[in-house]
Amino acid sequence: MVEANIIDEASRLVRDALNVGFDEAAVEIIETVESQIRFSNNSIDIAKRWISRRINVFVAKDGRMAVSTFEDAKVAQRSLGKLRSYITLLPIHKNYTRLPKGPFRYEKIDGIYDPKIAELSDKAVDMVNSTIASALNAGARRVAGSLRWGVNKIGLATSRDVQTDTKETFIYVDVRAFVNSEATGHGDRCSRLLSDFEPEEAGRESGEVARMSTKRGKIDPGVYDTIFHHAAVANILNNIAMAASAFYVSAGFSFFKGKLGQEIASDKVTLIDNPLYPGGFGSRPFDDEGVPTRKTVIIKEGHLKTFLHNRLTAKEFNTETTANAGWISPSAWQIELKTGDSSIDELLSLISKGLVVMNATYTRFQNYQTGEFSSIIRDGVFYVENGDIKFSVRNLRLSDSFLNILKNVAEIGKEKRQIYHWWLEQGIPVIAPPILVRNVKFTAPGK
Amino acid sequence: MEFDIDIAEYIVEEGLKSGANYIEVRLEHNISRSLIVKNGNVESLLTTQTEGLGVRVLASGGMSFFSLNHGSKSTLKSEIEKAVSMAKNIGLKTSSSTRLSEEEVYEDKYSAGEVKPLANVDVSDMLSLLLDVDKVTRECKVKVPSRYVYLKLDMQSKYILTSEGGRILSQVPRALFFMAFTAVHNGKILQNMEEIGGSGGWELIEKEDPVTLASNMVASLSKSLIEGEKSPTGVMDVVLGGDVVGLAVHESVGHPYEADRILGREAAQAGESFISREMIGFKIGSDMDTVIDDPTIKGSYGYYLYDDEGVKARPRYLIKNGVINEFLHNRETAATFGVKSNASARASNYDREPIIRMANTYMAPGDMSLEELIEQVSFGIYMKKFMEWNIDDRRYNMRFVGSEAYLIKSGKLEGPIIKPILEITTPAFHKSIAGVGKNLIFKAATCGKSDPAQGVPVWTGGPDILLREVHING
Repeated sequence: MVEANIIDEASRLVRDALNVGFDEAAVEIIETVESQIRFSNNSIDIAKRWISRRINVFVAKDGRMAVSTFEDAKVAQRSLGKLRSYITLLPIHKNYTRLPKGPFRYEKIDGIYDPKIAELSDKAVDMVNSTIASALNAGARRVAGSLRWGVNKIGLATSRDVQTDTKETFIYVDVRAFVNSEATGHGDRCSRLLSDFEPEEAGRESGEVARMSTKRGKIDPGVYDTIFHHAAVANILNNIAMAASAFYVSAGFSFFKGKLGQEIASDKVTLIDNPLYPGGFGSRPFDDEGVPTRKTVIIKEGHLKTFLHNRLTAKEFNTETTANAGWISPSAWQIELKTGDSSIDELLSLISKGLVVMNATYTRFQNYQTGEFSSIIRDGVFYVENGDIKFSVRNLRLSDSFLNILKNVAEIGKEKRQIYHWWLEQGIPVIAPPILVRNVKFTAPGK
Repeated sequence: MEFDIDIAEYIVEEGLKSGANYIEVRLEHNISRSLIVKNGNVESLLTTQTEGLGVRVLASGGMSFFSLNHGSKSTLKSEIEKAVSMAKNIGLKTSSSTRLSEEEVYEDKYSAGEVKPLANVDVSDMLSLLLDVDKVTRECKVKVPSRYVYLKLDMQSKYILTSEGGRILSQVPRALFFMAFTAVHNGKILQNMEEIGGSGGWELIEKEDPVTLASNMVASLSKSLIEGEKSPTGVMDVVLGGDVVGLAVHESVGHPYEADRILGREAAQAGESFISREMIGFKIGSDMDTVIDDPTIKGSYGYYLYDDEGVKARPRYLIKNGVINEFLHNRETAATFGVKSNASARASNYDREPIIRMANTYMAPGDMSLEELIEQVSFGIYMKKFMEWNIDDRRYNMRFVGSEAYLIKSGKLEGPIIKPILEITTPAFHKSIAGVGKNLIFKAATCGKSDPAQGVPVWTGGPDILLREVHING
């Protein structure tokens, strides 16, 4: 349990909001103590530390709503009157519905708090140095990255009888190794518990991939069967998770618009938003409206089963909330791709001429609704012939559509892990194995 | 905004007492109001009011940073001591030693002027604008079922104190307008989006006239949906609109000329650079290619007169007549390169370290009209606006997909074409510049970099330009 004062403070602000004339209110207070060490060229550049407190306030009156962010409870309290005057100028939200009525029972999620992370302090410098050493030992010449760790305390109170809190720790490392400027590798590890955290593994992986990338060859742009490795899968799934948010669907930013209930992916694909995953990097017991979080199957064996909702989008789409609030927009907590049976070697053996893509970054859409996009692929892009990795290639760009990729998933690996790295477009933690996708399009600059 | 300057003085004093060689304190206060209108429905009013401090410490060659937005004076004292101790620890355990360039020390204050102060803009005025924009999109030949419109007005107040005696107080109000529309017709779907903004008062939004911009955008979407043909492919001459040129120079000149990227400090995140420090004086573009980054442009979205290290800002000529002229530096990279800082250190908020950033990056205009550029093309395309873009981590391989584009035949503009793709290397782009227009335009953008992420306001700018014999995919 979090200290009582964070909930008391949130509850006090809810009462203050009702006293100035709002008919609904919710207050979320997040207190964070967080640290980071950044490194490059095998050396530490800077150590950082944050002691922060954020107070998020939702208020509504007669179906008109406002969301505010403060850092001081007194400032928040003083601002309520002004918010009250602002809000009367707005029209009624056409999908307004009351906050969910509590109190609720929340599931205990194991393995999301570890006091050892809070006490890491100077040992982190040694952890960074051993991560760098692992990458160098695996063949890298230069190593860069960041180690970040901390504690979040979150308290939530609403005018509909919700008073709850959670405490979580986190630690993650992002490593990029270089043999030269074009032979690079990436590694990442994240955890809620220090005992499960393996930064040296991230270092080793990045170094090995960088070393493998030194043997270079050339292939033409075109269509290739492709294995997307963990980091690349995570970014692909982040974009798919964004498209599953009902807010994005109605805003025109989703390739799932009009496709509910349809077969939109290979039958190998089952995709779940799973905020209850034990020890999950994105696990959380309640959403911002106070509703207990739950496992939500978004895609089941290729069929789009639901969008992700808060209470407002649920009303717009004539359904129930999926406990993914956001007061304005719902979003996924933690995306889990159901594993298959194939090892990496077995996936490779299914390719006669194709590619392995270790990381996909910088995704931008040509058209959100058709799902056409391109991504920069990096940190290990390998040409495969008859199941064997032959050489690394550069300057190709992943240029396809997410709907094609979903439909062309041929096999799903069995080696799942938690993935969190800097390039995740939506910052949503992912639990996934590598995947094999047939007929993926790659382009290159004109000559 | 009144800052507790005594706190800043206290931090510097305590830090030096604890053994720091350099301390820099930023106190910041930020307020904002935003509105979102989605498909004609007002989603919410959003407001923020945040205040805190960020401190950077240099001790024994190591660097540390901490940020606080609550807590007692004893917490603050303890954090100062921890920061100095951590910096010393890093200095002892690392092979490199961080140094800062010697710079002139300034005491000054400035603000971006407002004719119609943003604080006086009523929520109802903000709302009317967004609803008018939404309304105009419905007066179109095709359906526009998805409409997203956003307006944000903010004020950033900042006080910087350095242990060398630098003291800079600033106030910069900014406004940002964003719109994204999805148009459909006969089973075809097209999208476009645009962002405008600047520093100053409400007059800058009035001048940009978002309602007319929205009307033009849906008209072009409608024309493309009804009349659009498949884009031709192959090698051809291409005229690019100022929107595309602005982003192209931001991505292919601004970012790779950031000295921290050249040195590898951002290697694990945004990446490095195909430019090396020895390339000053290297001919990279045509003689018509001059690219400038200038924080001092009045009314610009990336406006500042002193950076977050207290160094006085000036225009930076990154490329002069096709030759690489200078890189973007903060005091740390300037010391490494043996040059002076050109005031490129910016932090997006008090809780972020100042790092090298662009401000307002643009290609210098020439003297040709758009018509004169088009007249020079026997067969090619005019890509006026873009939707999709990206560039690799060394800023060498870039791509732009047109969202509004037209065919050019025999020097004349013809009908709209759909999604032409310019995928090109940075050197090929800059060497193929064969004509530069006189109509310089700027667009607002939020530039992302670093870990934790820092989005800073920038302008991207450019005139129309002519590229000779480049490859277009469709």
